[in-house]
Amino acid sequence: MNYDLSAVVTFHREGILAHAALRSYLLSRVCAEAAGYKVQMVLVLDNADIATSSIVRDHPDLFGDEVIIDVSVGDSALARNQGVLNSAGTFVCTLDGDDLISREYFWRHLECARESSGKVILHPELVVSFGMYNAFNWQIDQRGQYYSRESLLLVNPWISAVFARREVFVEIPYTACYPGSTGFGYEDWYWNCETTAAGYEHLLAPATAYYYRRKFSGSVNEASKALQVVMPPSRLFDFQEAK
Amino acid sequence: MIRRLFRLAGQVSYRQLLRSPRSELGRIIGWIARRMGRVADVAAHGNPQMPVWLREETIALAHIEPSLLSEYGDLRQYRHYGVPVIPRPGELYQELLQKVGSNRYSHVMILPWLVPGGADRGAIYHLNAWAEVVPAEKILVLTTEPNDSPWAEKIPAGVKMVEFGRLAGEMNFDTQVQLMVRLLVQMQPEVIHNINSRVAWQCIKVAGLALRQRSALFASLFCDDYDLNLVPVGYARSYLRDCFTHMQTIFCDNSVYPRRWSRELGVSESVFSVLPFPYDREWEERPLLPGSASRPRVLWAGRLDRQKRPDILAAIASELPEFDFDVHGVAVVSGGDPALQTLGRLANVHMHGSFKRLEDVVQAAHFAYLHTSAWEGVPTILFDVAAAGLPIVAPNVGGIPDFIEEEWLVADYADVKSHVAKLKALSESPELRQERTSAQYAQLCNGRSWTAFTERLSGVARYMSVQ
Repeated sequence: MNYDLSAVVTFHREGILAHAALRSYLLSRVCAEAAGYKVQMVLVLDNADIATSSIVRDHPDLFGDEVIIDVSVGDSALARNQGVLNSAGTFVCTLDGDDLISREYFWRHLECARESSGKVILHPELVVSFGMYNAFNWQIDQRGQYYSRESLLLVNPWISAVFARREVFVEIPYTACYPGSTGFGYEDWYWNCETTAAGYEHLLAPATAYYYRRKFSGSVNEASKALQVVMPPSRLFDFQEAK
Repeated sequence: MIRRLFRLAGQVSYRQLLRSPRSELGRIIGWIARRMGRVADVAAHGNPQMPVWLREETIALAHIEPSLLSEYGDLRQYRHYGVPVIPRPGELYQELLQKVGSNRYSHVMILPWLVPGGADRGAIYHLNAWAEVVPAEKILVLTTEPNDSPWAEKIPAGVKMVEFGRLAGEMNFDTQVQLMVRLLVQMQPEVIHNINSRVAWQCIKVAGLALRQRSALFASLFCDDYDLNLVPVGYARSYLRDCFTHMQTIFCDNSVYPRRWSRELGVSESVFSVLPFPYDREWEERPLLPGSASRPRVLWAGRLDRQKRPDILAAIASELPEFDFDVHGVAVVSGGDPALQTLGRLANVHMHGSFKRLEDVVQAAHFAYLHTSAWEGVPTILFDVAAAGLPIVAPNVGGIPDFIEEEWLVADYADVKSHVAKLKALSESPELRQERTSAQYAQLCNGRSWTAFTERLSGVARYMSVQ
């Protein structure tokens, strides 16, 4: 079957929080399919605990055609790659197993992608952080006035949820960092830098929002900060990139 | 307003302001500029409200996720957050890349600067040793303080030096560290050697695990410094415990401090490699200096700072009015140091100011060299003194016993009478002077040749290898 979009959702030990996430993602699927798009859900259970696995597999909103895969890679980057390998959509978007998205998220991304040309990666326009920390922010559009390529050295302007043609994820897969044993981390930031170095433009899909759950503990980003990890060597900061 | 002034005051490093006013003022101005930029950003953006569609969407999704709303059922908890746009460090990084160039460096040495001094002399030795086996274009020197490096002319031909500190000095310390970490992560040299760079120590502290994935990390440490309460301070005390697990080897020019740091800090002694500095100048045994026919003359040469204890020098000179003391060196302690005033008042002390090389200030009239100090590694000036054929009187501190037998050293660096007694004994006995200079010559031959130095380095895993 040909899908317009494969939504790759990675689950680990989200427990009951996976329930709300999946409800939100499946609601967005309903919305996109009402507009005529075909959406494939690829649910990746990476070393998922029993509670998380049960919630995903027994979720009442499932259509029944979801691709559910069990992997034991123990790393969100590799888990996403596994999801991409098992996806069939023209486009792929990545989502985490405990967040939410605006109802028209898939549809608006697909519409935006259809209107965009060239090497483009899309991000939701707005991020609503909730939980331990409550705030909203506009993300940065590479064609907008606030974008600075130089700023990527110290700041990752985009969250992990991205949307691009499937071949982008094949050309530049996520890289596992294993922060605890290597000191390297921030695989999302690294992917953003690598794709930028490869000439992709990071743009925003208008009127889309990603609801980013800020956990009180167990956040990968917080763990990375605590470990004081650094991004691996990126082509974006190589000598060839000197202007 | 008062609160802002306090915040500004909190940004100032008064120590750095005294040491390097230009760079510190530049940093403060940079900080003010960033604050102004932030104010301008808020003024330009205003205080954005959540778009109506997003408010409606969030309320709709609260059916799925109750914690999207406040306890009052509304959205009052959400504040606007602006993604920071911080281009300046990235711009500086690009400038840095331009200076570093496209060479694939295998060996990177990080120093605060290259100025006349023992550690800098050591750095030059290491660079020369590298240059014997590593192509010069694969060696890079990074200096991290925004100061002049008059000894840059001594680095081997073809080796590039980049003044990182001059470029990145406008950034705060943490950003300098981030820039350095990124540069090192990108370069992936086989060897990174830090000699007394605070930026480099902090890099190893915060990113040592990442850096050592591709580079073998080395450092040189020599001795502790001591604060006014005589508490040991310095890079070993500040960084060793956090960094030693990341280090391939830490070189020390003496055998005393590795044992001390291991015992007092709990770091593994196996990480250290005792590496005596070579004496690479031409020298030959010469006849005993005749000394003065009239009044005996003693030579003292060094930095007139707290470590070198000018007060003890003054006390010794006071006890020996029958001797003349030629004192060479500039004061780096504050001008009001009473010890310097005392020295200036003593009729038998002759203050000569700065000197470049010991050979320039040794005279046939000198019968002894006096070294006063409260702490040391192995002061390389003692090698020059030994080569000049002048008997040394020195205290048993730090690594000095690696060069002079303990039995001859003054046990307590503050023991004026023992210093005086040894000077008198030397003055009265040509035989003793001959004995001492012979022992010193022997020590110069004892493992301090250039070949011995490079052979030791060749035996240190990953240090001299080139892929």
